Amino acid sequence: MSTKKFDYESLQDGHSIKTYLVSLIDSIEKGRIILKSNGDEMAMRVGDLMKFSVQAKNKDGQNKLSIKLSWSEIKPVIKDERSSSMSIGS
Amino acid sequence: MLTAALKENLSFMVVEVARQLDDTAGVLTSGEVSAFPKINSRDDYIDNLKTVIENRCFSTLSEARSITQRERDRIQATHTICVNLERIGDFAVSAVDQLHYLKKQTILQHFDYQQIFDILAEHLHVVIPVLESGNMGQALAICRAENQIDAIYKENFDKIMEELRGGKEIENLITVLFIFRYLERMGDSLLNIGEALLLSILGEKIKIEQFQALEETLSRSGVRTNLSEVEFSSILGSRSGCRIRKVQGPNEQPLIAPQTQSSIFKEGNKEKILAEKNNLERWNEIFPDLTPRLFSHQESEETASLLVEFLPGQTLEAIILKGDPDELDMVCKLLHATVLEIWQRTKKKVPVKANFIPQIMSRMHSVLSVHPDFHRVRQDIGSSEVMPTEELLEKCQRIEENLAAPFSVFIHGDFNVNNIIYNAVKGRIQLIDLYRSRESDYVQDVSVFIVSNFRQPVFKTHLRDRLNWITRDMYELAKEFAAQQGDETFEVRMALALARSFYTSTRFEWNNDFAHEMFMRSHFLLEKVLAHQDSPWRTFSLPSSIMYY
Repeated sequence: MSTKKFDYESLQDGHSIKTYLVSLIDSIEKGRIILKSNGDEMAMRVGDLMKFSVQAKNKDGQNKLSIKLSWSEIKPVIKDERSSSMSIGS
Repeated sequence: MLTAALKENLSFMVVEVARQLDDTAGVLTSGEVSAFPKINSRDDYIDNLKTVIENRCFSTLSEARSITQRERDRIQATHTICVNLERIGDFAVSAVDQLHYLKKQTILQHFDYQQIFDILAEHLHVVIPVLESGNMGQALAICRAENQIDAIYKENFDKIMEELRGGKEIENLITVLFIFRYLERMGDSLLNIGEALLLSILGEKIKIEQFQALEETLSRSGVRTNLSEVEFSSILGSRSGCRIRKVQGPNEQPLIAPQTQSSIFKEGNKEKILAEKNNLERWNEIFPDLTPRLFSHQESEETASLLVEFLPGQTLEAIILKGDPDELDMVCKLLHATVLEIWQRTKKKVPVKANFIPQIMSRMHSVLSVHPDFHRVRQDIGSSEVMPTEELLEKCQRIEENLAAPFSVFIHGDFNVNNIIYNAVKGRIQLIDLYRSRESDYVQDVSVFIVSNFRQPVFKTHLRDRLNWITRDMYELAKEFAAQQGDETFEVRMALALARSFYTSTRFEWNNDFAHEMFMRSHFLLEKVLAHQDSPWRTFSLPSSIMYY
């Protein structure tokens, strides 16, 4: 199995962060998230069910808010061993 | 076999405890305080012997390169015997100690304690021979001696009470009562010794009450057999609070009827056993041969037992995990045909509520005792509110009150893949473990079936695929049936039923990540139902990917 990774870190203000979040919301609605790095593209199909977690920490004035989405793309696909056909289970 | 040293030490211990009892009886009669030090020092010796035997038992178990189950059982039995012999020794010391408080020695002589010592001596005498010979009759006699001791205790207890009512010698009579109480507890330890001997003979931990229930149940079913020739296999399952044993004649000879090789003996909670009995009778009326035949049943005050036909074959679970795809496909088709036939044959046009949410609520405590964090508290993320579990359940319960199934069927009640048997010889599906059967919503059986697939702790892709297609096919069968019957609220009831099965199944799952997955799915479904409450329920669409992992 190949592993694809995308990594991005930057400084932003409230306004520019909103732009990124809105763009992610659009992608989720469309069912496909495209990430590109130096021409390498990584496309993720949005799952029917996705784990959504929010974690926040405030320590000595240092703040951290993590929003995580995780899902398996394989889940809804049922491979029927009897007929060797593939079918979508949702 | 027990090592020579172990056997020797145990023999010494039996002899010492027997002598201790002899001396105790003597002191109780004579009131000779001078004998106390001797009794105390022998108690130290008995304690030492116990420690030596315990150490030998543990070292034999840990050091032996290869040890058979039979040897392991004998060592376990030896350990239990030595622990209980030591207790008898301790009770002897405690009984003698009471003489310090007895102001008038002659009062004790109004009561018959000697009988108890005689019974103890008689049976201690045969402990080692029974351990060696495996004589079942003598082991049972040791167990039953406790009943005799209890009866003697009761007789003397009543007599003490009667004298107490006279209002005289109160302190002395209470001391006498204490002495008898210690003697009665010696009987309890003797029973433990007897049961340990049963373990060494049968290779099964069996309590004397269960043994007697089995004996009576077998004799009611017309079997005259020496129970020492009956083979017991290990407990098949005990989650429901009933102990289940497979019983087989010697050399796998038919024990009950020519067509049956063996039977299942269930003993335990009276209510559950009787429910199973009534349900077996009902199933037999509806579908002869779908469920095990009932051979006999037996009731006592608190427990009941059943002897039912042992259905040969494989469980669906075993076929799913080990069978080949063609066999599994064929079994699933048979299962579908059977399920449809049950539904069609038992369908009654009476609306019925399965009460899925109350089922969650009543099991909440057991879920939280295994996973204390499996309930949501109120949280806010910005302006979004996370509803606490309790509130979610209350709201869904109100919704469920108006969501009766339009008809009832006779459901299995615990329709998981373990309770479905495929009998290859008869070429048919059979069902076991029927104590929860009742007239209810077919959706309950479907959801239990689906989640019993989901919660299989297998993560290999091909097995997961298998579980997923079995789930999908069963779901589609039910959905099609619902459509034919004009059951418009099928999908929303299914969502509630799955939420119930996911949530309550977490109490059997120690793998926290996997259990958490089920916990989240349960909440997701409840939230989906709640979000739909202002729209017609016939438009609710179950997010079917929730069933697949």
